[in-house]
Amino acid sequence: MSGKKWHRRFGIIFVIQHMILLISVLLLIISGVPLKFPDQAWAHWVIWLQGGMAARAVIHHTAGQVLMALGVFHFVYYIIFERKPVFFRRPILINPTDLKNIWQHLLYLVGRRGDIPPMGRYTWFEKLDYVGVIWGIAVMGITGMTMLYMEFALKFISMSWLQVLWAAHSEEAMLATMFLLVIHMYNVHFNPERFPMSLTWINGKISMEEMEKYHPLELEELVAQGLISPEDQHGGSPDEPAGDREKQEQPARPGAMGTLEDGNA
Amino acid sequence: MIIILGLPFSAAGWEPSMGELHFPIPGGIGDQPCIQCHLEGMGTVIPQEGLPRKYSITTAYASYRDSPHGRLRAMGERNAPDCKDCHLTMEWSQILPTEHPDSPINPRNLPRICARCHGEGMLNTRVSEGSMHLDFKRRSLMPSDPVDTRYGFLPGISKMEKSYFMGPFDLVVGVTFLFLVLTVGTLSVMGIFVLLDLYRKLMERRETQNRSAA
Repeated sequence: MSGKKWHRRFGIIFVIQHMILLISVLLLIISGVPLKFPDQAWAHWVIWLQGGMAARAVIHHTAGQVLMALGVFHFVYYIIFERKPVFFRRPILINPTDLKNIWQHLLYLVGRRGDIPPMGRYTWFEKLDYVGVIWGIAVMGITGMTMLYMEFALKFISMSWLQVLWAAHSEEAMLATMFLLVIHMYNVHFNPERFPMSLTWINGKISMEEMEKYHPLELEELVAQGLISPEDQHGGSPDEPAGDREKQEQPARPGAMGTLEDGNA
Repeated sequence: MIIILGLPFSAAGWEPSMGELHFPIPGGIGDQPCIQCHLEGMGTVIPQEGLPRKYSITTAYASYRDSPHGRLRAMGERNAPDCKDCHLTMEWSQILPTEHPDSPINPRNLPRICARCHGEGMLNTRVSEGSMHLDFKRRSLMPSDPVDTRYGFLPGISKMEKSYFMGPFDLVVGVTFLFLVLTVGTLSVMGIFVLLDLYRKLMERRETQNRSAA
């Protein structure tokens, strides 16, 4: 790891949010997915390992409520504390450039283009991940609550509609699980650039090489604002990671999303 | 011991090998599960040629297995109900159609059946507006099959079930289908990107290694 230069991409608040997301979703998967495969021996094993059906219910319901609380917290935090002058210029929002980026990225991957399209703070596939999480929490949260508080839900909607919602819960669960196990696992573990594991989820940092490759527009802005010096970008002492220095410069807002946000706030 | 059709009959002593029964079973049959006989291909009542198919609960049972109740039961949740817990077969003195006011699964009585496990919160709810027996595998997005092939023992699309339908579309199937498209679409598009990305990065790595070796 020494010799590489690092950039602090996410503050501690976001690393903790991801930890909670990770733990609650894993618990939800192991306590929920076996119910879709009651004929399989492994499903019974997984349930047995977590202490039987009664424990499964407690785990699933608790993790679900923690996940929903996280969703609310994230939304409130984002609206209140991540102050940006113009809402629609927030870097996480999807815009037409992303469509162009998808197409150009595909051209790059099939060898019809020399380089990856220059992207800003969030690449199109990171935005897709993020949209997936929001969609997932919303769908699973709403449909899951109608199961947990069925007596209440049934006062307003009929049994037929409840079963429509439950079908959605079951199907969306499979979509989310498979996306996480296949696509997200590749992105953060099996991707040759990151194998065996990206450490961003623990320390919030990514390498300067990755910044240059995937987030050149953000890097340009950071350099222009003086938050990253050109030496950090192309040279400098490897013993002094860029992210650490930047942290020392800005101790007032440890929870901030990143340097770009700081610069504009 | 009771007398039916002039013959002495004890439910507890009855075995599937003894042959068919052409009458309602008072008090149920010991602890034999309903599907012992009422499932096509199992037991003695249904598989024989020429017997009325209406005694089969195959499709109803399949839908039960797919339901939250059935899944929880199959996973070993002892509180989850099976047939007799809602249909009250152990208390049958005669088999009543759903429309009969005394039937336990009559829409007017159903909330009370649910309340036995789910508590009194179920009493004034819209739980009877819909069937517990949704057989996903046999439902289609635009149902046009004869109802009996889709529901077997069940009477077909009842008045309560009409609210599943939006125009000609079956909403449960529609939602499931929508998510299937979403899942297959997302995973295949992203899967293509993953494979291309992996291939490209491995090629790049090999090139770098070749260059440093040379």
